[in-house]
Amino acid sequence: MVPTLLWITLVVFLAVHAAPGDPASVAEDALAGVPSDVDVEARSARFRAEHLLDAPLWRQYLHFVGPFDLSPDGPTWLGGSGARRWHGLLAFEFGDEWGRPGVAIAPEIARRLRVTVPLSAAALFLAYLVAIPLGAWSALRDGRKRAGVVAGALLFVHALPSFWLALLAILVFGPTGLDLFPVFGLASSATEGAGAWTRALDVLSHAVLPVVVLAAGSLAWLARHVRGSVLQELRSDYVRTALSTGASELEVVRRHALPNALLPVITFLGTVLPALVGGSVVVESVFGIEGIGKYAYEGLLRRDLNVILATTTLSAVLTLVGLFASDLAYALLDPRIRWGSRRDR
Amino acid sequence: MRPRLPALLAWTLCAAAALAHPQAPAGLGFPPTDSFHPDRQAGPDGALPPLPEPTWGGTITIHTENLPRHLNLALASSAYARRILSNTHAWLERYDPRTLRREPEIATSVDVDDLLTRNDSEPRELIGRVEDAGPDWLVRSASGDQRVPKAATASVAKGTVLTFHLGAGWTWHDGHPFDADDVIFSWSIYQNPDVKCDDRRWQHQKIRSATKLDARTVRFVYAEQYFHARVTVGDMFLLPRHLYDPTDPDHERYDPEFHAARRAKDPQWKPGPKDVADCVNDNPRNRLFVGLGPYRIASWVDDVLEVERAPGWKDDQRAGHFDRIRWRRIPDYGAAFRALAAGEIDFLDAVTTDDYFGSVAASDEFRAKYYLGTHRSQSYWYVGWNTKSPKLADPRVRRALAHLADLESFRVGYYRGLARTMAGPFLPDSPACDPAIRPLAHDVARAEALLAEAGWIDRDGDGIRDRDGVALEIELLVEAKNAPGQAFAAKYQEDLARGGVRLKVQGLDFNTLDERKKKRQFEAVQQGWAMAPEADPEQAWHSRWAPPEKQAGNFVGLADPQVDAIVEAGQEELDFDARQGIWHRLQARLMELQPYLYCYAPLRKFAMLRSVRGFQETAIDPNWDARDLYFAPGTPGTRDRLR
Amino acid sequence: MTVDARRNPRVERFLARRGGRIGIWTLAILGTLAAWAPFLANDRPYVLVAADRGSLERARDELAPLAESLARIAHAAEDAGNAASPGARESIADEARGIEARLGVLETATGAAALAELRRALSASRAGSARSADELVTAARTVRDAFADGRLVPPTVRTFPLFASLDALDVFCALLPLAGLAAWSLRRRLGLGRALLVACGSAVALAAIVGIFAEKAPFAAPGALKAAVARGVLQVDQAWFPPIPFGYAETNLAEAWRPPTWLPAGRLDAEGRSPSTRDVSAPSAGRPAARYGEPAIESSWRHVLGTDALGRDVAARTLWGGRISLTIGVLAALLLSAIGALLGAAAGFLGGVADTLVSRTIEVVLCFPAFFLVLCAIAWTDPDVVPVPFAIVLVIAAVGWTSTARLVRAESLRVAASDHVLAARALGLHPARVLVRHVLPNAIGPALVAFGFAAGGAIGVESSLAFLGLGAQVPLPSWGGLVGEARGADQAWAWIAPGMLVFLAVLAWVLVAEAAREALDPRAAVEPSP
Repeated sequence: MVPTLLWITLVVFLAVHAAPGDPASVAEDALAGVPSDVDVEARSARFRAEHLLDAPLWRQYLHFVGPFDLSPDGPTWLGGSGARRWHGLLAFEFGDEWGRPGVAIAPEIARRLRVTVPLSAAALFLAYLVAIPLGAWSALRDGRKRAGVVAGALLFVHALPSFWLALLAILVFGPTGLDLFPVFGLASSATEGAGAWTRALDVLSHAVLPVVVLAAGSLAWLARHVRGSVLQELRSDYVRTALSTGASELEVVRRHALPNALLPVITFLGTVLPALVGGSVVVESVFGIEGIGKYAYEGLLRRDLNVILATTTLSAVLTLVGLFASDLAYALLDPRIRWGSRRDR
Repeated sequence: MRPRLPALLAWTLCAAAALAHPQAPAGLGFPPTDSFHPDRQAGPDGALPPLPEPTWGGTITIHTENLPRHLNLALASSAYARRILSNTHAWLERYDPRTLRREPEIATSVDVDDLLTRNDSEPRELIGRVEDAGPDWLVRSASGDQRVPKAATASVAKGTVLTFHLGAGWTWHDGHPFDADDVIFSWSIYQNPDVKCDDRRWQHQKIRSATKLDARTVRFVYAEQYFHARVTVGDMFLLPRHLYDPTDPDHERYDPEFHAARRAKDPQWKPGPKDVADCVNDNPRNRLFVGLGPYRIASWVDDVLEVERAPGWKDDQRAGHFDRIRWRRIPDYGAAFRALAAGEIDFLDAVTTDDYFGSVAASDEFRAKYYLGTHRSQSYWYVGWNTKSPKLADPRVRRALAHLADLESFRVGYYRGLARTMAGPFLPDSPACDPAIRPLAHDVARAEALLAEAGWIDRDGDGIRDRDGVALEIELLVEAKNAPGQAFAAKYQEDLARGGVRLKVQGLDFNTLDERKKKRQFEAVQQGWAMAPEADPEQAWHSRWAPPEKQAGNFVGLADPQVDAIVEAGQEELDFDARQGIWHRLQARLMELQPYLYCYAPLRKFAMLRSVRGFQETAIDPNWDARDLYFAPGTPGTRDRLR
Repeated sequence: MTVDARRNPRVERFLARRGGRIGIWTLAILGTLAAWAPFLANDRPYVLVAADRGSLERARDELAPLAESLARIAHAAEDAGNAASPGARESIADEARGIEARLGVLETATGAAALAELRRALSASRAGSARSADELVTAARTVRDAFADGRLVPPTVRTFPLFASLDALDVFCALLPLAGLAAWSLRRRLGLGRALLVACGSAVALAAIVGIFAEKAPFAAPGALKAAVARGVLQVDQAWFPPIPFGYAETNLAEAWRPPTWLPAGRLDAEGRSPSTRDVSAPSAGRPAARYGEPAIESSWRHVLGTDALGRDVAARTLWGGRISLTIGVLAALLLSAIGALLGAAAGFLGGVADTLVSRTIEVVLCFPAFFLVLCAIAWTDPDVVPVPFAIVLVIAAVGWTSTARLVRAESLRVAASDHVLAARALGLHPARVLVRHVLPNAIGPALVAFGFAAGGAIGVESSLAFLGLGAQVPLPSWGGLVGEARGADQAWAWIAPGMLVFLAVLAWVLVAEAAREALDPRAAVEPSP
């Protein structure tokens, strides 16, 4: 897992450095508002020195990976001033944003995760909540007309581009349409002093549209997964046996088929999580939510190396952890899998 | 002047000096206060309804596109930080935003003296007005006149000694009194190489020494004559020494225990420059900055910065009307407008054209709560031609390209009229801009004649002019995320095609575009300038900055002896009006040469809560002053007196 | 595997599924619309019967420089006649070469007859004839007289501006639907694979011929032809425009953000504003005028889908937009399937080091934050090095090949263990041969299914990128970009249709993939990636 991670950081690092243009031109107010009497050269020189931009690539990469600070502020035994000792991934120290020097990335990410994670979790929860009954039902009614309609509808939802769906949702439910839900941010400042219930209601009404749009993306796909999985179980011998004993179909499904069928679906949770974090760029930018996806996207447009490296690394770690967790869950839940045997993917 | 001026944006140095000049224009043509407010529209008799009486109190939420990490302007020059600090801090001197004259703020008066250095006798240096009196120099000063023979004089430096007399009763927001030591300390950090104040170090290092004459008098001595001297000191960012200088007995780290602990480790220890630098660079007060202004910072949580009325402010006229001002950061303009409509912010100074004319802004619900308006801004954009490219070297070709551009229909159709077309490098309405010079007319026939004259004729009948087998095809670089630029490129492409010129549009991200521009690997590039009220045109137009190795403002490579002469003449001319005449000549010459296709200075569109009154356009970024604004009488939470 | 409909039950099974049929039809319609966009929405007419005064003007522009050149030749010819200096000869030859090009332009206006005398005089002066200077002057006068006012009337000619403006790629695209149709009708005779090969091959060949022989067309720039008509350069007798007579890049700022003209909102008031902007104090660019060949300004058919910020017709842009979106989808899917199938088959069949290598690589790529990587690549690609659409294709393929590889690997593991492959290997066939002849054809079924999902996914990714502003460059539209440009609720007309088409295209590919999966094996565990 760690080697994979290092490979990923290396590739991202090299990709960022291969980009054309001077990375040091990422300065605050690069486009609007640098007062005209600023010594841009001196500013850029200090920036380059602090971020090791003139050092060889391997040194920059080591600085990024850590755990020692190789910049002029680093430990004295590395030739630095001794102001800081640790830096980089291994020290859990992502450094500052390039665009806003002095803004540490870690708390910024944490703040945005506090927005994105609940949102994604809610979306995922909603998706599972709808997908499991829907998928199981359409598997039970496989081959009948209504199940076909549901399957078709699921395909429709699957094919909906999320940016379009988000815009449609704003058009229909936003202030220019039915005016049912607010379409900006996650809370309004008007309720700042209000009671907990008012606030909760406010956040809820803000979250409805983004959560639904986010959920729609994974809903269809989950439901189809559940359906396939239940179908497979229904065809298995034990279900047939159970059915032949005269047990009602619903009972058999509820007691036997569904739990088994859900196994792969639940373990799948691990792999969905990072996708929800990364895949929210569009939804976050349309709804003006200050989440991690938008943060990463803006950092990328500014070409803010530290932000890009931090967010991609985070995303990769989440993916790895998700994969690991799903393996683990599978092993825990499925009695057939023994410890030590690796599931072949 | 500094030998190697920072490349891109340092072309406004003379400006400030010019502004300090007493003959700065009085009226800059601002519309009357609140001119966009629905209750301030002229009646049938043409008279404006009177403004309501000002009130005090209340909280306003203002949108900001960005919030810097900290507010220590010495460490990083940020326009956003400056906008906030203009309410929470004070300077020795300031510009009056309406007249652009220098006004005293903390310093009640400034003496500008000359410095005479003698060869032998003590004291070596004499300070005062030095006058030429035949064989002697006559030094006039408060302590009496003194004659020094010219033979005994090593040097006379005019205007290099500035003595600032500080006003009484200024206190920092934490209650600590302000005195000359703060000023000296604020200057001393620029001499400390470990302090990260590189942005302006070059300016302050021209100052040879700074001395405290008494608790309310400071003297700065420049090494040599420098036209920008007074403004540099007057605009110096003041730091509270008791919070930033660990050697100050009032500093919190100057406690016996702390020092004892350090000395225990190292008996030789005493706070050195490095400790001061650490204390300045990483001071927690950089964020919650303790200033001198009418407001002090109350809280700063994530994207919301809130300031409240500071008790120590004395000047009631400039105290501001609100009790609290809150800045909220929303980087995306569209999102900010939605936040405004949802009541999240009260004043948005960046409404997009689509929102400005959109259905939300037109709805009765919105109009009942907000009103819309525009004001000028200090920037314009243009298409720069690489005058070293063989296709574009001929001014006739560049003029033809300008004649082909249908600027007016884009202005009306795309900007819906909310932009001013540029005629040369100076903002319309600025004194440097000659109103008699008009943009080149949209005239296809004239353009075709010019192109044919320059040898560009469509010889192969494919609709594109050619010369020597080369088609007149120009590649225009546009920043990919710049929507107006992209739209203009699409329109201009069509305009040029009418005259047989093909425009290829290339969208690039900012860094790539910047690099191409610096390396001169372009034919045409779309860019913008942020202008000071009067700008020094040298970097942008003088041939000194034209060679490719200079990564300077003259990236179009314009090298014209006539332009050089005009620029040099302007820089030497100290009389304001005479200098404007010279700038008019420069403008006329540049309109002839057309190194740029001068496009637009867009107006800034704002949306404001209707109950907020007193909006007044000014000439200093952001072109309005939060201290002018107040809530209309009757708004809950307001009162009719300041205190 | 020969995909032969006569014997292939899988193709028949696929066609028996309604979803598959709907998907194929939708794709065929969308593809045809995109491929034929130049014929459906264009600012140039199919047929134009007009007199082009432009050629006359161009020729006149050449007269002055021609006269100067002639004067220089005459001067040099005198020198040559008198002192026979060798330098004069050379300068005559130089000038003559320049004149040659100018004569070509003049001929387009007058025909060769008027210039014959001049040509004779020129060759005489080249030969060093003593009288040549006089001859030249006389000949030049003749030419000048020929161009005197009113002498020359440009002939009225029938041209095909729309067709003339097509390049090889356009022709290839336009032929593709026809090729598909031909392949379908020939499938029973030749087999589907061979029929497709033949049809596409002929399309490529035709396009290549056009590409080689096509000449540069006049009025290539957007709106140039209509502008020429408006200025009187073109005097039109007759013109036959496409159903949507607007180019995708043709602007008309007076009509910016006009809602669909068949809606009440699309009507204009006296000052030329549409109701959406009527209440505000914005200045009006004046009542827009319909250009040549366009429906009247008040016609309900003028802009069926409204216009965008520059007054460009949204319907035209949407039609053209399909070209980028659909092409990128197919190309990316092809590329990633190829990569995936090859690597997967190699891993599954060869095993050992190859398998480990591929599996580890898959693991790393899987962990990559794919969307960010795509974003990086697009945002930073220098368009001069790699054009943006290609960059998108490359990156989507580079991060998307893993699912195909995994499927093919599993399948080839199965096939490699099957009897006939074992037999083939026992016979001593080269492993590569076994791989190509036996393993790949069998493993390609799941790859085909994955191809469908991948194409849909690629269209989705490309649209999202374009929506975020990282797509193809101006003025080329793409569906996602059209949605992103308009976005606001006030201009819903400008983004509903392109978004709908993204939706339909993705849906169609998913339907096709689904049907293909069921046709191949009802239980095959192919799923779209999230």
